[in-house]
Amino acid sequence: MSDEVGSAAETEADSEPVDESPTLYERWRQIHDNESTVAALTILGVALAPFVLVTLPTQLGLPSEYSWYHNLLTLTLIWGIFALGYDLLLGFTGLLSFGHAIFWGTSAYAAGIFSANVTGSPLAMILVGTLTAVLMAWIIGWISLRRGGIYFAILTLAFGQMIYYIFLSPLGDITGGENGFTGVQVGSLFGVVDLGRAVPFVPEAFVDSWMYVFVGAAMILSVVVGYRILNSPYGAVLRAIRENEQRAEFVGLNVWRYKLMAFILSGAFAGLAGSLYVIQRSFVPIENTLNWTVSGDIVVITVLGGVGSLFGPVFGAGLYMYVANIVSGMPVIGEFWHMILGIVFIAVVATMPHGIWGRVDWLRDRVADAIGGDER
Amino acid sequence: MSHDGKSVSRRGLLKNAGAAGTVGLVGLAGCSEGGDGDGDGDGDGGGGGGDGGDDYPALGNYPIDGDTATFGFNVPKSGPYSSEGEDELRAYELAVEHLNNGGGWVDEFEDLSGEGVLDYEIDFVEGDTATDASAADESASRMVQRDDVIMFSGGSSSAVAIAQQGVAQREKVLFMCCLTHSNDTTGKDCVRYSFREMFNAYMTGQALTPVVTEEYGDDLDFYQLYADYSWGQTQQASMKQFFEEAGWNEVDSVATPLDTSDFSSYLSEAQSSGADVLFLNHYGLDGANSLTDAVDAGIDEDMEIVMPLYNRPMAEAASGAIDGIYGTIAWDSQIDNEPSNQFAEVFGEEYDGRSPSGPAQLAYAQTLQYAAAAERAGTFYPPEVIRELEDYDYDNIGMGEETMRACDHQAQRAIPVVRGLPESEQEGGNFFEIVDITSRDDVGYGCDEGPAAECELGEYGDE
Repeated sequence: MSDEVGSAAETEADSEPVDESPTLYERWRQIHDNESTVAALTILGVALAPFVLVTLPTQLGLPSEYSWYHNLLTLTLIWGIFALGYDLLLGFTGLLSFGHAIFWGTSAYAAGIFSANVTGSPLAMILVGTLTAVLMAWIIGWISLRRGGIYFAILTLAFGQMIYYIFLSPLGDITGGENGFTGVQVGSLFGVVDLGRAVPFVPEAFVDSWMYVFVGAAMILSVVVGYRILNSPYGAVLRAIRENEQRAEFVGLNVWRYKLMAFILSGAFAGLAGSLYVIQRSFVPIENTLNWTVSGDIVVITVLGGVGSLFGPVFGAGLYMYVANIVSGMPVIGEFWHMILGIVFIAVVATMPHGIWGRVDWLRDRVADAIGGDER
Repeated sequence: MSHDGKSVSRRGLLKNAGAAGTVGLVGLAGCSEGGDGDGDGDGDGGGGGGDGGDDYPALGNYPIDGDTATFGFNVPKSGPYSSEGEDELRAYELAVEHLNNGGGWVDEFEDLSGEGVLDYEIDFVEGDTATDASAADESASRMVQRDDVIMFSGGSSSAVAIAQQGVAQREKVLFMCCLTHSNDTTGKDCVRYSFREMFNAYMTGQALTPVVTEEYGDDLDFYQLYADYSWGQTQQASMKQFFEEAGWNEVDSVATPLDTSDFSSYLSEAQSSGADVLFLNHYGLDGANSLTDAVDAGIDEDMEIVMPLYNRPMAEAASGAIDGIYGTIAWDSQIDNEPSNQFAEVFGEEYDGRSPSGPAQLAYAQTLQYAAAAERAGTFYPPEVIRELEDYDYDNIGMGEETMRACDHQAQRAIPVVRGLPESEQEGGNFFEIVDITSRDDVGYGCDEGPAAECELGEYGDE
């Protein structure tokens, strides 16, 4: 399998920018899908988000009850990674899983319990959490992927509920049951960097703590890896499966194996995100990790952002987090935030069939046309 | 650049830098808060009348920007404990009103002036815990991060309180527990940055056992249903411990999930168990539902029912079903002493003659206790406020002589034991008769026994 992924680098080498065409549009067309451009855009986005969403609104005098705060941005990136991985499955392979809480949740518990008993090193926690999620995805994918469509969705949901109850009661002594796991002990990164601390030489207006840098780095890495997967022959096979599973099979591809691998990859992203979630909170609440509502949330986030796009789910996570954490704290309307989320969801689905990112793409094309791309 | 190797947030660092005038950092801060921090550092010292605001390094959300100190009130507005949450919020609003403008207990507390706290005006923000630890954790973290609260408080559900205690200790912002009755809150999950006025399940067991065994007799069999989270689990364990010590025998105990609306299947098992007494370790709407279901099923005719912890909103919801049911409550407006009467009166005046519940009294008392401690400390600097609260003796909140113990931050106080009144006698907001106010000498435990034995409070943050 790895040999196929390896060839991705060559594919990208072909799309290196060539400095021949003078128009801005041409140049943009050449580089805008390039891996380093994607990485640069992600870095820029992650680096500027705190300034644009937290500092600027405050300085412009936006009342604090409408504005973002640093922890929430970190949380959004974490959910963004989760959603990005989910979209690999839903958007690019065409599999609707209703059990992704399993991978997010078990990795959170694994990382949390590991930190309490072995070591609190954030990287070790991520490793343990992600491996747990991969293992779970392997087992559950292996069983559930024997069926497609609604049967697959229901099977994953059933597994999700099963694991939720196992963690709630029979394993209650280890997991803390309904109280959640409270013994998380997050240590410092490489033994020196305390994630809660400020980053020296960087103004708070941009980055408030190492935690954001850490999670931001994970986000950038996830985007790059996601991009690689999608632009490799492997990604092409996944899309072929999404478009027509039978045809892919007739061509001679082992469809089941590809689907299982997509499921595991997506589980790994969920595992990374779940471990980061525990590192950020130092607490594993069961309702927000293993409960089936999490599996629903991630579908909502992905659809809001735009199914089948790389960046879309991150924006979906942002919108969802804003409604769930900021609108819910506003006076009067706060109590109806679930309803508001429903209305937002309907509005997005009705007016933006490809989610927020679909609209951004559309706008980008308009702008590109205006700059001078009429030969298209 | 770091301050004595302590963990301080960027925000804290900047404020500190402003106050101390660390030129390099302020310069770096540039367009951010550096400039503000500078002004506030000075303003604080002057405005506070030599309160020593400048003498302490930044920690958590200290020092406060501007001349308004913000409290955060994180209560359940949805979920099974929402009616308790509504009543708490009424009391919190009343407390803020009194702190700023005088009135109620503020006039009686010698530390409080009624003109804000330490010359800061008090403002507050609200949050919804949804009776769920993850929602509470997120909403507490929003208050601490975005709204820069100097103290937050809230309650109902111990899992929620414990989650918030975690936030408090990590962020170095004080949390004043409101209603939380689990042994773990000031036991294995206790933290330095949180204080509990409410008693716990262990003390309920101590207070209830003599009254109940005297009423129903010796050598009985009992059956327990309990809410399956921190509070219910420790409640069940304490009831088992104390009643078995008194010679009773537990037949079985069964966990029920939080937010259950129909208890009939659990109750029918209890009914057929052959036990003489049924303990319903449920609270809030769950408690009202399980009690009503039990009475509807006629269980009260074959078995005696005990509701170890109850309160006014529950009694209101269960109405006739509470007739003759024993339990403990946090506080009640019928307790006849100066502070209790005064609180009931001001609360009634503010909210159309409504009687405050036990959780409301806790909410009001805890807010004022924090404010008074800050006044005594002369600063909002959290470690100093904590030291003022530790081992503080008081008798001004309507429950007699009390001590906020330093070893586990658990108030040592009396416990009211009540019996529910029949529906015909429930008038004027009275739902129970007070059987006994168990003195604090008869309940409680040493610092090295019971839940306190497992408590390690953690750091002040200025070590």
